[in-house]
Amino acid sequence: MQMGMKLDASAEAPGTAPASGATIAPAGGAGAFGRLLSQSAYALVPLALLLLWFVSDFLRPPGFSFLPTFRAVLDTLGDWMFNTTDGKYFYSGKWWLDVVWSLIRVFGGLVVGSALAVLVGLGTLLFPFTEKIVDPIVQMLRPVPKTAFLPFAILLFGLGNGPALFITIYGVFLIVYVQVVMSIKLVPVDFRRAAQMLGASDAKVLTSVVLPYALPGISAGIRVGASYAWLVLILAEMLAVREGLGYTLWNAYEFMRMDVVVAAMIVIGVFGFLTDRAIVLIMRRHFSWAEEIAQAEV
Amino acid sequence: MSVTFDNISKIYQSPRAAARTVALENVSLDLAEGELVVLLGPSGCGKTTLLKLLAGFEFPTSGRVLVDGKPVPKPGPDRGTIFQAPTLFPWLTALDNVLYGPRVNGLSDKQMRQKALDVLASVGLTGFEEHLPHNLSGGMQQRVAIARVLINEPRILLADEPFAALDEYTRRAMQQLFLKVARKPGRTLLFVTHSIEEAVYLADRIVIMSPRPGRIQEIIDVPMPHPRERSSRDFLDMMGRVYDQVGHHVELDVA
Repeated sequence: MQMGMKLDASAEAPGTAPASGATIAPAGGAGAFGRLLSQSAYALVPLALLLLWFVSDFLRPPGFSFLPTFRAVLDTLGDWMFNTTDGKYFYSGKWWLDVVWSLIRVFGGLVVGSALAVLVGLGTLLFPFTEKIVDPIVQMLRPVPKTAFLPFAILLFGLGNGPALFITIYGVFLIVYVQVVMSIKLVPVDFRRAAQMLGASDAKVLTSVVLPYALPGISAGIRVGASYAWLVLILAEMLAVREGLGYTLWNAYEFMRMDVVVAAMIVIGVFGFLTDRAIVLIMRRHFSWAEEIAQAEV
Repeated sequence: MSVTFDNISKIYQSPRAAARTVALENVSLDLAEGELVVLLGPSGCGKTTLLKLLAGFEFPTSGRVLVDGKPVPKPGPDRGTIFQAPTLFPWLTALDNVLYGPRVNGLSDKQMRQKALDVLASVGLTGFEEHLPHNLSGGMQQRVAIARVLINEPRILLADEPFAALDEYTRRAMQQLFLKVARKPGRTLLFVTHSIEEAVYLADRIVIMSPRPGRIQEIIDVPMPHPRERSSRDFLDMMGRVYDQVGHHVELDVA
């Protein structure tokens, strides 16, 4: 016999699964406590900024009194959340309602807008001529201010959630669609061919190969779409509704209550951050294959 | 199944420029049922194009590709293809990659799971069923790629330089394995390579192609029994014969 070589699987196996968990955080010693310490080190910069703001309350130069003090914003936030003034202001104790409605609008817009974007994006791959119809329309609508659509949305859906949802869905769709089309076009043709020659129908190729392969890229679009949904929230809630974080922010602005404006900005920022973290966690869970190929962390 | 390439021409026309590449010009070739034909030639000779036409991935500009006398249909499980890169679905384990074909063909895991395990065992991957592709070496990935095609029991098997990216030792072992698991009475195989040694080791017939435009230059029968001894005189003589044919056409266009 020639070539006494055997295909012994173990001899050829690469070392081990890629080690993960390398952190850039300063090493804070071993064990869970050390990890907590090194993780909390990331919070130092934001905490320092808050401290700076707190200190600046006492050092405010004349002419800057329009800037709300740290203390005032904190008090306002307390009133907004827990009605400490016994209903004195329009926002007192309304925080929870505002948050719930804003979450409904943001996530409704995000889920429906993204789903539409994926459907239309896959459709353009299945029927290439549709891309030539859809794409110019999308690219023309993208630079048009979303505000311009609000009066029409109100006339169409009446005051209330209709126009607010329309604006978020519409805004999210335009953002995610571009990323969907890009991501599915970047799926190498041989992956589609592999699925075909194994027996997959055209529709099956899309759902079982193109979509999973494109999902990490699409989810990057959904991340941008999520922050965009929070961004257009104030626009969506400006005119048509009576509760929501954006509504409260805009109302406070009209009363020149900058402490409320800043409180609302902080709340929206925190929720936007949490939304992004949630999406990243889902990505980590489902796209570990993509991360490991890239040897990177999303 | 027998295969006929009937006076095939394939021209790639770039949509933007006037660039026009004649990949194949008036190529005719017959593959008998059960035969292992190796297409050999330098890059640009159209050997991969010929394979894609039979797979149904692309269509000829003129001429016909016939399988058992009928025009070749769209890509399907009767013509399994092994690509140069493993092209495994990276989010599926080795086992799920092998089960992909049966699943999209409507077969249940219950029926096919044992067969999938057997096929993986036949390519030496017992114990690696639950590994994701990127945790396997290049050779192991390519063996999964072979296994996922074999489970469909294709009547025609196409291989497009499947071992070109592997090191010399693994490549030889893979060639040996390929003959053992992929060859089967009645299965027609078309194997594309640029390696003369690989061609002589595997082929019943070597079709030597030449580039610009892609044409068949010479067809050489290899009537040697398997297993073939790479260091035997017969083997080396055969390689010499093939080399003499290929030799003319490999020149670098340097001034």
